[in-house]
Amino acid sequence: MPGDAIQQKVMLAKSRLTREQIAQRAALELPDGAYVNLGWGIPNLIADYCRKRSPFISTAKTEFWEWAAAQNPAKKISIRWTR
Amino acid sequence: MGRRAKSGEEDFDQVDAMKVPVTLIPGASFFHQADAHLMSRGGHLDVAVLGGFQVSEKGDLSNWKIPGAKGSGGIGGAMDIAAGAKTLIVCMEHTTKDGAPKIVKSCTYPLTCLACVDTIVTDLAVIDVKPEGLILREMAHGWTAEQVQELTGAQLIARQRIPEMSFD
Repeated sequence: MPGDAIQQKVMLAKSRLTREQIAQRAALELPDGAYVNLGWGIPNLIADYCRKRSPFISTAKTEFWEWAAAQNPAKKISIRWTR
Repeated sequence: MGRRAKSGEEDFDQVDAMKVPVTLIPGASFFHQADAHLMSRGGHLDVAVLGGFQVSEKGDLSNWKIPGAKGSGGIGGAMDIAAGAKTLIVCMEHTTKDGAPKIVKSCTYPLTCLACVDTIVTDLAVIDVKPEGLILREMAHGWTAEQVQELTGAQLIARQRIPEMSFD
């Protein structure tokens, strides 16, 4: 449809990044060999984009699972320490 | 750690901060949570990348609680990490779902850490937090500095022609 093409062009002309693209851009900010901590949310996607640059990455925030467990007592989410 | 695990190769003893199964790269290691806290509090982290609810023009970060919102409110290790990391990058959407700016003059949500943010990466721009203010470094394709400024609650400094965001 010609209309679709125009619509697509309009979207391309001025678009917002996806969460993945934000992570991809942020990955460029990491220096090679740095010790990096990734929080949860968008930062969590960064590991997918920085393999070539191979920084050292540690994860955090197992507290989230305590919170999740507190929010959903019925679901009985088990807490696992993962660092 | 490496990329996220594909279907079939998941090992739930190897998960990231959001409990998504990940792969390991050669040289990967596991360590105790107490050691992880020691790393962040002892200033051994080079870079931390955190999500954010609000960032102020002075680099204050609020990222753990939205007052009144159901289900938010666990600060976790964010306070230690934000204070301890040598460089702090915040990744977030430029505005809330309602269109309100998340980069503001001063944070109205409970704070995580004062004057800690070095760089903000949003879906619209890359912004550096400097003593003189918020420096607009890059913008998403098709946006002008004025348009980004309209969606920002604090003054942005656009020094020269702002390049488009690069991905490699």
